[in-house]
Amino acid sequence: MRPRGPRRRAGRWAVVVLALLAQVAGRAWSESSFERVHGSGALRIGTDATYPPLEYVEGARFEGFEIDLGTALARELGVRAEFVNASFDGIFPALQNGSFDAVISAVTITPERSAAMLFSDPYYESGQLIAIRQGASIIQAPADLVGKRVGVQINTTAQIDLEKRPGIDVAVYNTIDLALLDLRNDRIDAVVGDAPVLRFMIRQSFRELQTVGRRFTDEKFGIALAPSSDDLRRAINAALWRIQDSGEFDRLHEKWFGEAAERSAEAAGGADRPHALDAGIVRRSWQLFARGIWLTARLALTSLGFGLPIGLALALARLQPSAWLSSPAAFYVEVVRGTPLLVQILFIYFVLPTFGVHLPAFTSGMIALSLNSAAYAAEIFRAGIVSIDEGQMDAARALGMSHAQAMRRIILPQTLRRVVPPLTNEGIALLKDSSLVSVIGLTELARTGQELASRYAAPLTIWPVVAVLYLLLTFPLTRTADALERRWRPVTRS
Amino acid sequence: MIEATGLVKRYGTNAVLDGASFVVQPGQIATIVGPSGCGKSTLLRCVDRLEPFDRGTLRIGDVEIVGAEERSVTPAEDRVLTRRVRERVGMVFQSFHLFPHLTVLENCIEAPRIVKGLPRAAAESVARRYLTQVELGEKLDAYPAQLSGGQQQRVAIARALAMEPEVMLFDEPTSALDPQLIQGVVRMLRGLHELGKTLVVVSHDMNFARQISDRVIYFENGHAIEAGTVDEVFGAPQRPETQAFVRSFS
Repeated sequence: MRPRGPRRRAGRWAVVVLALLAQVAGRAWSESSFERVHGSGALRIGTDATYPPLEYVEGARFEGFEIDLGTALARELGVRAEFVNASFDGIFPALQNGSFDAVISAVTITPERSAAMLFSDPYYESGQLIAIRQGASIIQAPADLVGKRVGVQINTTAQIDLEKRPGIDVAVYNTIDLALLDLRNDRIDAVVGDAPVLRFMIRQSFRELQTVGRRFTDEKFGIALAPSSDDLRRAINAALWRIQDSGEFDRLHEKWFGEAAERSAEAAGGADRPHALDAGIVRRSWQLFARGIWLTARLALTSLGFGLPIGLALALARLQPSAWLSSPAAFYVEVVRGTPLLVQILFIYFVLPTFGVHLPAFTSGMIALSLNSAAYAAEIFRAGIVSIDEGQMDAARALGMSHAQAMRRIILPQTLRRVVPPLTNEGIALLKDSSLVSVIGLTELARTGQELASRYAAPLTIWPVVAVLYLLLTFPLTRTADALERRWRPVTRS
Repeated sequence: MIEATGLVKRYGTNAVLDGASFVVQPGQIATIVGPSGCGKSTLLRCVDRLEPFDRGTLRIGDVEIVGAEERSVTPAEDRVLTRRVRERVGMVFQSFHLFPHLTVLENCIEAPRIVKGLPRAAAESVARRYLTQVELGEKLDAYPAQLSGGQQQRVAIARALAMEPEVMLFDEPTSALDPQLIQGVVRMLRGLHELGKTLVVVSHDMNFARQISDRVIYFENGHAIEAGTVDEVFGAPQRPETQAFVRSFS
């Protein structure tokens, strides 16, 4: 079966690949963004909504300071705001290839990022803060982090900053709540992250943790735009200025970071503890779970629907005596099986646009999963076909059947009976691997879990629910396989 | 009539058939006997075109096939030749190779339906007739795995008969069966003979060959050593190889 690395490893992969892809993709994108935004009537804003109170999901809606800001900006531009949820490790390539017009997602303006994309004027001053377990007061400042294991969120300025300092063992997490959970569980010594987010999460659900000292970096958040979007950048800067000038910005700031906000966050937290199973959170989130399940099920089923026939065709091609057919099929299987699914997803979604092929995220994910599962299914089918006694083909040929007739009527029906168990495995693997499409912004079941776990800072409530939902999703597959095997039982002996 | 002249078949440098020649007249039961590994099963596979041969000529009725080294044919011509051979020739394999996913009846109607294009009802009535003849009229809906070895062999015979070939090839029909079933096979082959079929049987069992054959062809080292009636070959063998073989059975 295919090896599956943990998500964190996948994340590291993504960083490397996306950095390369961003370079490639950036050059190809050259349309006037402002005209496009006006033409379509919507400003599409990419955001990683796992970052309360800046952006998070509440029920089926986006909420947070930056969500309000983005909405106000779009209004000033005379269009409506359309938020697109995207995992932070894939958010910049998605911006480059035109999946959205702007990224408002607590993006710190750095020289490296400025080289690859445009930024609006800064709209928010933040900085990195250290969180520790209460009472573990030996850490007071960044200098104390030397020799310690410190958690950060992937691709954040916290990661960039800490990796520049020698002697710190940096642990990279996909979302900040997982880093805080690990800190609470005593596996790491500190977490470094954006000040407002750390404060919010600790207030709400991690009472055992505290922040220490003051922000040790000065960072400015800006709105990230594709390199060719200079006209859009000017329009956004003007809109920002109007929002600040009218006092609206201060009202938003007070709403999300003022004393009232702090009190309500504490009230909302209270009984919510990250290590307790909280049925209330699950009840409040059922809509999002349902949406995630629906997307995962659709992805898995359509991918299996395409992957199996393609796999069978590949297997048949590989078994042809002619090298013209068998070699390309063997090459395909070799390459697809030997490269990470994550990279294949990224390739189809982020690199194909540079060749003029723009596919929506769902289609890209489905194609990647179909082509990937086809390679595995091809080997299962091939093994099934060669396991059928050669005498079967002889007997069919001796009766006058052509090779194709013998294949269709005699060999393949027997093959199918043998490959049901390994194909069931492949189907279940595909169902779970479909979680990788979250990197191109598809909120399938696992990504839903990530968002909810961050939103409520309750990973220990959310992840068991996600696991059970996946298990339930596999049931129709295993039931169908069982039914087929029962139906064919008298025949499988020979 | 089947006439083979100088058939040669090599696997690498090893000549499995090395100038094999023999004749079988229409309506005869001819048995090719000889020790294991003498090339007689390969010969049968060459006759049914399951294997190509390198040199020599094989005539089956009005179909003539020439070894691949002596005359090259296009794949299309090859398909036509193969189809014409298989219209005339049926084969019963040593281990029968029944289709395990099909019932007895389905085993026998599959080829008539998809090769000859018979409608299901017509194919079933032909198959039922032959299955009744081999005394399996009661087992139409059984799967091969539910049958004994002897019953499986009779399904294989009915399956070949359903294509109504002129010639039937049998590869070692007694080797997969218990000794007490051999008389049944003898009866079965005689029944086919009465239907007017030409039978070519490969066997290493002289006693069995003695009971069924009109003609015996003694085979060794890839070619026919001598041929004749049962009395001629087994009663008064002329060649030392045949004499040694006959002695080993007495």
